[in-house]
Amino acid sequence: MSTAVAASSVLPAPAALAVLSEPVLVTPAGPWDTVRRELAEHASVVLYAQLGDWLPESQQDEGESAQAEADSALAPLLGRDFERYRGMTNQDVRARFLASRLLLKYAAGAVLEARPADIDLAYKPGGRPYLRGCDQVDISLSHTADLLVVGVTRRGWIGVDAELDSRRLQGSAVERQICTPHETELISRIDPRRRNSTLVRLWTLKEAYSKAIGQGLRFRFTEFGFAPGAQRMQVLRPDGTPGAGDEWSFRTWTVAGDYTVSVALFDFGFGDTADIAAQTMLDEGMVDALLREARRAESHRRTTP
Amino acid sequence: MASGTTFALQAVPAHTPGTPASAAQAALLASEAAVQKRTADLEARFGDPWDTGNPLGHGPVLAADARGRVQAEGEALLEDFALNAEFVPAALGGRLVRADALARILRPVFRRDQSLGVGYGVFSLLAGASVWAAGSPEQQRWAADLLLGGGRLAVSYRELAHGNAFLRDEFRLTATGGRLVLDGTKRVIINADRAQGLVVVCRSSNEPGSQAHSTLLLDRAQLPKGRVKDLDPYPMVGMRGCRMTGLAFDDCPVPETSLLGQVGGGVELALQTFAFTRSILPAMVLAGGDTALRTALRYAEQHGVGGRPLPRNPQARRTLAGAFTDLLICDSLSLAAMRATGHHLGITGVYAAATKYLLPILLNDAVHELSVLLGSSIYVREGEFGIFQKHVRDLPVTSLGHAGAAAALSTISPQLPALARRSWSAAGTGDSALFALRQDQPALTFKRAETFADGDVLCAELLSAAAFLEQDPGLEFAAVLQPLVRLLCGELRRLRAACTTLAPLSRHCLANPQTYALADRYTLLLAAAACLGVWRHQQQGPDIFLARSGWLVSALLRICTRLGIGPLPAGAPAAEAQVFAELLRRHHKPASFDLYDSPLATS
Amino acid sequence: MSELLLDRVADDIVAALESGLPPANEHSRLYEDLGMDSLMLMEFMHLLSERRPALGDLLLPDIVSHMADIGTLTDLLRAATQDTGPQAAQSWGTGDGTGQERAA
Repeated sequence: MSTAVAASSVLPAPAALAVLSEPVLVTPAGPWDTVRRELAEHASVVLYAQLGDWLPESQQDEGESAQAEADSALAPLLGRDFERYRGMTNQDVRARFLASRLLLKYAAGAVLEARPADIDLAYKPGGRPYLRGCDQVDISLSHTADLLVVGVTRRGWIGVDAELDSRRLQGSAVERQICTPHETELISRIDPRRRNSTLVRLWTLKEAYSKAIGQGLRFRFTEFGFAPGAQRMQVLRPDGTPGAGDEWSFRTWTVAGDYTVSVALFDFGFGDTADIAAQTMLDEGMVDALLREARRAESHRRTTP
Repeated sequence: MASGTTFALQAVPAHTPGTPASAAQAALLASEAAVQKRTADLEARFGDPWDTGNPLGHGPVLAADARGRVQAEGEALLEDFALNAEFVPAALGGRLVRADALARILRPVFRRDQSLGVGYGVFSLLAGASVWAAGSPEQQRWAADLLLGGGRLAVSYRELAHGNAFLRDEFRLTATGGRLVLDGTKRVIINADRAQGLVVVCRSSNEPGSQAHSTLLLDRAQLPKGRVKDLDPYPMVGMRGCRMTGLAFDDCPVPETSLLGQVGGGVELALQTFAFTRSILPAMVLAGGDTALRTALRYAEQHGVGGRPLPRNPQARRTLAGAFTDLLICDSLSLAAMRATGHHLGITGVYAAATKYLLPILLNDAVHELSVLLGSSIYVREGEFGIFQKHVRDLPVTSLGHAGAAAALSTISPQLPALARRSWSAAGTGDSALFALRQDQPALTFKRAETFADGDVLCAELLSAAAFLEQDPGLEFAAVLQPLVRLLCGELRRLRAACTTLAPLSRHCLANPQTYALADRYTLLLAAAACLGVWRHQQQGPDIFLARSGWLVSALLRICTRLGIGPLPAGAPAAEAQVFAELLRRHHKPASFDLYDSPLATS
Repeated sequence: MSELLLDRVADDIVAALESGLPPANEHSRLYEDLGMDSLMLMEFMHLLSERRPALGDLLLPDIVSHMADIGTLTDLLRAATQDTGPQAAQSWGTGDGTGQERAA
């Protein structure tokens, strides 16, 4: 009595998540249509941006009064992040903070088809950013040097991380702190000239994964690993045996010439919610019934003093 | 059977299962002693889950999950316990009297295996709610007899906005040539292939709006063969032991008498039943968080965290105390929401939606924070700690992801403007009805309750508790609690100002991220108010830990952090130490990590 | 540049641990003011444990949760060396912060 046809027409292909297109370069002008299309087709999209493109011109000015004026214009856009932004004394940090918040809000606005200022960018107790009240997409943010990266998915959880290819990890204290025994073994067999880039890649994969589960550095990087060079990237236990299952997918790219960017994706398995626009999120039947009842209650109040 | 024996001690004649209970019998079924007894009985039957020789322990649960099978021994046990009777109102011969009591009785099941809880029974309960609310006497009798005889009900909802595979597509009901015909396919319906009774919400009109759907109660055995087909199981990452198949109707005639309520009344009926079902399922599911926390604590006690034992690891202790606090927050909100069902408050549906919205968020975050303690052991799928990853996989499934959240927000958002205008500024009367966790209350009736919110007793409790705290600076941690509650009252004022300006005219005006964010903030304030209510009304109560202020400080700090409001007062560590001490006490006793401190089975 | 910064901050903290006085720039926040990212943080921990072996094995989750500013971090490390369970917790501030942002 079973109908296999119906099943296969609804089920997501197991590898659907792994099919991600290249990260999309965005400025405040877009291309947001492309971003929406990628998200519709592939369920997830990774965006990257140049820091300079996302700084209001006044932020690049030296004049203090011009900056104060620009700040007040930013207050409604940054919302509850504004106080934190204002308290930052390190100009580089401040600029990256502002640019990355603007990028997140514009990206969220674009995919939810809403105004960026209407998005409530919030943080979990562990610091993970999310869109308050809009869990049709999960987001992740990374920034380093002049590069900003944002990941967006409508299937589950996402984590992204970016690092300069040239960042020196090989031989550093960090190398020992991030590799599992299995990874150390694998890396020792790699051509020494390629070891640093392998480590940078591993680092970004680990950051992406731990950000996707909302833990950042709290989840010790020696407790899970990857096999550099494997066909299909998956989470491994420290001894190299399989860890997490197929619900996780990973990708790594070289972006803007100098950066390694990795993404980690977790699929809840509910299948697609094709429509993610904020405007269609409220159920017509329920809202209609409640509003009718509200009007009824209101007129009842008016007629009975 | 457990149910009869309790009453033998009383003057009231024992209630015979299957026969309608008198009011006195119903009150006894719901008494604290009876609820404790049934919960303890079920817990004892399951035995110690950590005992490797227990056929109902974690090991066999994990093995069944790995095979994607229902855990047969568990189902047999629940059948023997006659768990189904818990889902049938006492007036129809079952044992269902109170929502909060029911959730408590189901927790021993959910602590062990969420797919057993959902797959064996809870969907019969969710389906049954529509029958108890709108069914004719004949329909109610039939459904009650089906459940009391060990049968099952399945339920298929209509397509909701932003629906996923669970909430997409819908059946269509048409009247042709004087007969009703059902068509269409629904991909995922839990227990569809093994339920004799089907509650089906279907589209019965092409008009937009809230009167285009109707609800049917179908007897699978009476449907013509060949007109209804089962679909293949839908593969999921979590809840693998739950039968998730689907149904396809092809020009299937259904009797006129199968209508539940009026033609076109499907949406209203759903709203009415959601006021009950949306709080009760999360209240059961939070018991899965209990096991995740217990497993993490067990691991940390044995292995330390990052090479450092628990007594010398304040960060690990803080994580554990934080997870316990989150469970208490979840339980407080669901308690208030479930007890509201017994008082016919118009706002019950809003509280239930808030519970459905917020609990999955808090529980998922909590288990991920705990994963840090287990490190690479979160990947282990067998042995002593394998049960942790199972609960991590199962938890997101019961919430139905974004579609579930969108449905909950669809209930809350339209009511915010009216609530802001009418409520949120006056303190309450100090009524403890929603917070008295062990107190009896009027039986559920499932009769038409107002589905629109008039007053907001939880927000009123927040304001009352603020006044209570200002009056008594001698209370434990008062110096921390006062500023925390001031912060929350300030947030309520901001929320009120923002929601008053919302135009409540149409879906279009409400439908934007600003409204959803306000609704999210509102659910957090409700959770804070529920914690304050439980604490305040426990001051003379029997639960000493709940009457103390440590957990409340910890809970309010965590809620304020989520709201992003501050500056937060210092003083968390002493409060957290109190919470952690209680956590350890219960772990070693052992007792449940919820409001009730229920004893757990040991070998 | 970043290594010089890490060296200086590590020096300040070690000096504070030895003298029992508050560290220089105690209110400098590691992310907002100093711009530390997660890799720098890992290097920084290594520097600290090299210079002051008495600190023993520092746990990254502890550091991440207490890196609000140099003063808080110093307090954490002081507690870690005289660590005796619950008492240590008392002196550990409330700052469960935004570790992931700092690590972004």
